[in-house]
This record gives sequence, structure tokens and C-alpha cells, in this order.
Amino acid sequence: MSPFGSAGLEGLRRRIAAIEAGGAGRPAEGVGLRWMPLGLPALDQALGGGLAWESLHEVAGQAAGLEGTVTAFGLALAVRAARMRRRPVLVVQQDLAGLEGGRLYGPGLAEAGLPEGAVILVQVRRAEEALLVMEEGLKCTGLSVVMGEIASRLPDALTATRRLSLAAQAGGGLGLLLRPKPDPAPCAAQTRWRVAPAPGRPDAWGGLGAAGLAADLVRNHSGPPGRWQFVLRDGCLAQETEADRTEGWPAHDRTAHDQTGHDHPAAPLHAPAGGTALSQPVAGAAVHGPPRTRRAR
Amino acid sequence: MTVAPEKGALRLAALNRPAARLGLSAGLPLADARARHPDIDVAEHAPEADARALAALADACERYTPLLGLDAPDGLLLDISGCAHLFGGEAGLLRDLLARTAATGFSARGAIAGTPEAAAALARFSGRRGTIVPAGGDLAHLLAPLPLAALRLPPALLAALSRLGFLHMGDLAGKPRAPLAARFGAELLDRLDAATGVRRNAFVHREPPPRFSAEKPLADPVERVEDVLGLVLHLSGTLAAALERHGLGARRMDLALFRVDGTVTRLSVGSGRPVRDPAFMRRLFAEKVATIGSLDPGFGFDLVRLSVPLTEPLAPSQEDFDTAREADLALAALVDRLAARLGPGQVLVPLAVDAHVPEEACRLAPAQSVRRAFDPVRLAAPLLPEGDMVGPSRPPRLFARPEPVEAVAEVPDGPPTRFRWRRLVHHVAAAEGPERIAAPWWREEGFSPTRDYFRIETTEGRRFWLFRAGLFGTEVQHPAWYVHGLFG
Repeated sequence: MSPFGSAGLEGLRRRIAAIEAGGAGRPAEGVGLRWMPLGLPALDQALGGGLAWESLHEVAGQAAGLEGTVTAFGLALAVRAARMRRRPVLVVQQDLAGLEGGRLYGPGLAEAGLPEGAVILVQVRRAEEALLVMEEGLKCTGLSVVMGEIASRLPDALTATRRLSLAAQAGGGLGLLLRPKPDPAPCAAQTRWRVAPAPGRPDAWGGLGAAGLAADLVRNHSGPPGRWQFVLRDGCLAQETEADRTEGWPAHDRTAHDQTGHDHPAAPLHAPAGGTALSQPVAGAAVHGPPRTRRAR
Repeated sequence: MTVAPEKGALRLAALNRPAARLGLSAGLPLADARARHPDIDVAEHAPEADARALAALADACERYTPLLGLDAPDGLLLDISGCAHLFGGEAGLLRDLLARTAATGFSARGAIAGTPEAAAALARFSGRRGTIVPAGGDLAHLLAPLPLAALRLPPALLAALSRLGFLHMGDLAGKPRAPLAARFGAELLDRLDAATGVRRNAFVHREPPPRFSAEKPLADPVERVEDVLGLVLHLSGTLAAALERHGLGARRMDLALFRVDGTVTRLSVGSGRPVRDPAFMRRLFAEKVATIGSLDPGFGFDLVRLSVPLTEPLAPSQEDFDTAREADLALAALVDRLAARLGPGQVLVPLAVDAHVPEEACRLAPAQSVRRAFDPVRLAAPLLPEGDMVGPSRPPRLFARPEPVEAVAEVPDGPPTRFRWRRLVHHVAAAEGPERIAAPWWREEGFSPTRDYFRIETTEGRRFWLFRAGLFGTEVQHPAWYVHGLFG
């Protein structure tokens, strides 16, 4: 193995990039700041500057059974935070959530942007234990994000989430509470998101390309709610670009491409039902809610 | 009185004192015993339960010395060299030991002698409740009246010796050694020499004694958890000083709480890196106590011992201003606390494994056991060229057991056009694949089909990781489909 770790050449490139960007010893970005900019100007403005550090954010599925979408959105936020703070992520998963929507999977997390060594995975059985681990993790200054997935009902949601918010204030990290099912119970989170899948953006070679995601910001402590549409790129949320809009799936040319390399008849597939929706990106445009007003805090 | 089946009949295995007074003895068939005394009570012989009881007794005896050996099935050997003065001398120790044992409901006999073999023989066969041979006592003389069975010789050898008139140990004294060894083997003389102290056998410890250990006997037993944790803090302070002198830190700590009634509660905590801070050790034990609810103090604990069985070098350290190091330490402390509370097997780090089958490509290892420094450079954003949008090839969520789906494909070896999973029909909008993963053929596990994995996007935009088990036509006729993971 090379002395620069397992990543080899890629690791070296990253190291050089880190040095060029100001040196690996330079303090990580975002420490002492209140907001974590998401890199999407309109959304950052609606949030008051970005997602708030030192607070709890809730991500729930718009319907039951959207564990994958909830995880993808939560991971995108976590990856951005971890890259800014350059600290590992603590992930707490309730066993029930693992049974219903699959356990978190190391190689998949690594591809999403959390490589080996950047994730600590805690598995617990009861919701109370998950909350306790999240609270302990949020109080710890050595982590950037604490992401907890709780499938069962929270026993006392308002108190529990308020405790988590206070713990996040003490530790300074980002708290993400993932709920596979929407929970109408009151919640003390800074922002609450309801996420749903959206058609993705194919790449230039007919592959699936970047995944799409629609998120309702149903509660926002520092600005108006709204509806946003994203694509997932490099593990982070991104806005749709002009290129994406023009390069939607051609309605009749959605073919499978064969990785095994042997000649394989391409199977024509169904045209997407929501195909026309692709040309109506709404990123950066609040669909409902009043124009942004700064609330006195 | 207990019975055990032996040689096709139920025979008496162990007797209490009233039964022995009736003239019964071990080895007698139960039918004979019943014929003589029809109203005797018998229970089944349970050697495992006996072993457990002996182990509990050994735990309780650890209050006298950490050097303890089992003399199964019914004896304990305590190495009390240098310990006796703490309990008022040898006589005081023996008195205390026998009184405590009697209080737990066992009848016991004890002996203190220069060799463990002599002590065992005296305790079993001298007929006295307590025997103390002063240092330098003539062991050969004291042992002479004891029967040869005290040497724990095999029955056949004993029978052979008794036929020749050798019944007591004294009978062998002064006999020429060479003919004895030639006739009865070296074992007889070895055991005799070990008992009389001519030669020394190694003492076999029940558990290796810890190198660092501190204890606090209490005149007034404590019951409250806070008091116990306060004592842990006190003992950790003592141990920390000793550890620092040796440049070591603790990786595992065992706490033994000796109850007044002889029961011992043991708590063990581990840490991912060597530690020495007494306050941190106390916190780990506080987490451990919180998991078991509360300690059951009975009538209180009158001895608390903290030992460190596992150590690792830890250089004396100095506080510095490096925030990254501080954050690493905070993280390590968090991992230790969570592991103490939930168990080390619940706090995990995923590790890549060189395997193609997806469920084997990732191993979850206890975070405490993985000693790899976190490298923040690895968290830098990837350096992919702009616009290159290759999606992930592995899902962030994987089902432990692939879930079967009903799928419809246009061609048998192509991707599905629609599938039903958990009673919902999903229409496939686009698919990528197949990625063919064959079962490892070098394993002898019987047939497991080749899998063709497809990354699927449905018309809703959900992304699944589906696979078809078995190659159509060559391996199976009707391949089954499974969903193995969720991308989004």
C-alpha cells in the first residue's frame, strides 16, 4: 500500500488540492459560522443564509416507504456538512428502520461521499436509545453531523426534539433526524422537510445519471416555506443546469446499456409518465408561501 | 443426597452429613440404599451446577487473594503468600473464610500449609475443620497418618498399593524409591514429593492475575450507586498513578464488587485507546451501570476492587492547543461511552472487504477495535470533471436479505419493464445494467445462481437495485427477481 493511504493516486490528488486550497492544516470552513450554505443561492436566501449549524433538521418522506429518498436527501446534507467541517459523521439507525428499508451499506455510503473512516454507525433497538445516542453525539465536538433514523413513533416528540436542539447548540454540529414516514407530531426542529422522488437526469451516454429529488420545506424558522427540486451531484444537492433541462430522457430512446460487454439487444422501455415534468424545474422558485420576510428572532 | 447413572445403575454420587451417618457411601447403588433406608431423599447429580457453585465460591474468595486455583470438583486453592496479615494472620484469615462460607450455606474445611498439595490433603482427610501448619513445619510427619487417597492417585494404583499393605503416607516413608518407581510408576513419587515439599509444582491460576489492581475494603458496606462510583473514582486515581509510572494506559477495566453475603458482581468496560483519566474511567462505569438498570447491593458491598487486565503504552501527555487532536479525543471518548452503554458490538465502523458478492463486500467492525486515525483529507470533495454525472454503483441502503419481487421483462435476460414490490407496482423508466456478479465458485456451498444487477429508475423517480438470480436458459428456466437495495 502506498504511504498515502489506500486511495493511491486519487488520494494524492486530493491532498494536493487541499494544500492548494490553503493547506490541510488550515481551520475547516464553517466553524463558528451560523449557517452552512448549500450552494444554491435561492434556497440559501430562503433559509436565511443556508442550513443552520448547531440545530436540528427533520427530513421525512412524503409518504410511507420512501426510506431511500429520505436517506439520499439526508446523506446529501450530511456529506456537505462533513466536507466543510472535515469531521466524521455519526449515523444512528434503529433496527426497525434497517428491517423496513435496508441497513446502511458501507460501499454505498462511500460512493455517496462518506468514505471509510468518516462514518460511525450505531445500531439500536428502541427509539429512546436512538434519541439518547443522538443527544450524546450532538454534544460531542468531534463530529460534524449526527444523523439518526427512527422508524417508530417518538414517545414525546416535542420534548425529545427540543433536547436534541439544545444538545446541537452545545456541540456545534448539525443534527439530522430522518423519519421514513411523515409524523404530524410537533417537532422543535429548525427546518422540516418532506421529500419525494423525482425523475433523474440521464447522463450523456444513456446511463441513469444524477438522481432527482423534490423537497417541500414545510417549516422554516428563518424564512418562508417552499418547494424545491434538486439533482444529486457528487453526493451533494445541486441545481438543475441548462444542460440538464435540454437533455431530458428522450421519450423513446431509453435503453439499457450492457456492462458485460457482449452484444445485447437493447430492450425498449416505457416512456416516463412524468417525462414532461422534467422541463419544469422549480429550483430556486418558492411555489407557495409569502415572499421572504426576515423574522425578528 | 444426589444420584448419577453409572455402570447401568443409579448410584449415589454425593451425600450430606446425615446420609453419611446412616452408613451410606458414594458409589452405592440407589436400590441398595433404598433397601436399607426406604425414606431417603435423592436428587439428580448435576456436575455443571456444582461447577457453577464452586466458581461463585471462588469469586467470593477473591477477596483474600487474586491468586486462586480451582481444585475441581470440590476444592479451592488460595495462594495467600503475603496476604494473611491483612486479615489478622493465618488463623484470622482461615476463621474469616470458614465463617463466611458457612454463612452462605456450605460446609467447608480448610488448611494452610507450605504446599498446595499438602493443604488440600490436610483439608480433606485430617478430619479437623481448620488446620494450620506453621512455616517450616515438618510436612512429611504431619501427612504420615493420612490415607494414600489424599494424594489423588488413580483407583487402580491405590488398590495395588493397599494389597501390598501401603495404606497411609507414612507407610511409604523410608522405603527405597527405585523399586517403588519401577513398580508403581513415577506418578506416585511425584505426588508424594509435591505434597511434602521436596519438589514444587506450578500453581495453576483460575484467571491470570492482573498486573494492576487496587481495592478498598469497607468497614461499613455501601449500597448506593453513587458511593460505588465514588469508590471507582478513588481507586482509578490510585491506579492512574501506578499506570503513569509505567507509562501505560488501561484498555480494559474490571470492577469486582464483593457483597456481604458472598456474591460478587463484576463489571467490565473497554476503551478504544489507552486511558488513565480517573474521571473518564468513572464515567465509563457509570454508563455500564446505567445499562443494567441498577446494581443489586443486597446488604451492601464491603470490598471493591478495580483491576486493569489489559494495558497499552501511553506516553505522559501535555495539554496542547491543537483543536483537531482535541476533537479526535472527544470522538474517541464518545465511542467508548456509547460502547460501554450499548455494548461494543453496536458501535460500528464499516470496512470494505475484497469480495464481489455485495452483502460480503462490507464488514461492520466494532469502532473500538479499529485503530485507524481519521484522515480529514479523505472527506475532500471528489475531483471529477464538471458535468460528469456518473451515478453511484452501490446503494446506501442494502437489505440484509434480498426481497423477492414479481418482475416482467421484455426479454428473459434484459431489465424488467415493471415489477411489484411490497404490493406496489413500479413501472421502470430507465435501467442500467446488467452488472453480472457470479457466486464464488471455489466455495462448496452448493449451487448459488449468478446475479445480474440492474440499477432501475421508476417513472416516479425512485431508484432501486434489482437483480435477477440465475442465468436464463443455462442455470434456471424461470429466474427470480429480487430487490437488494435502495438508491433513492
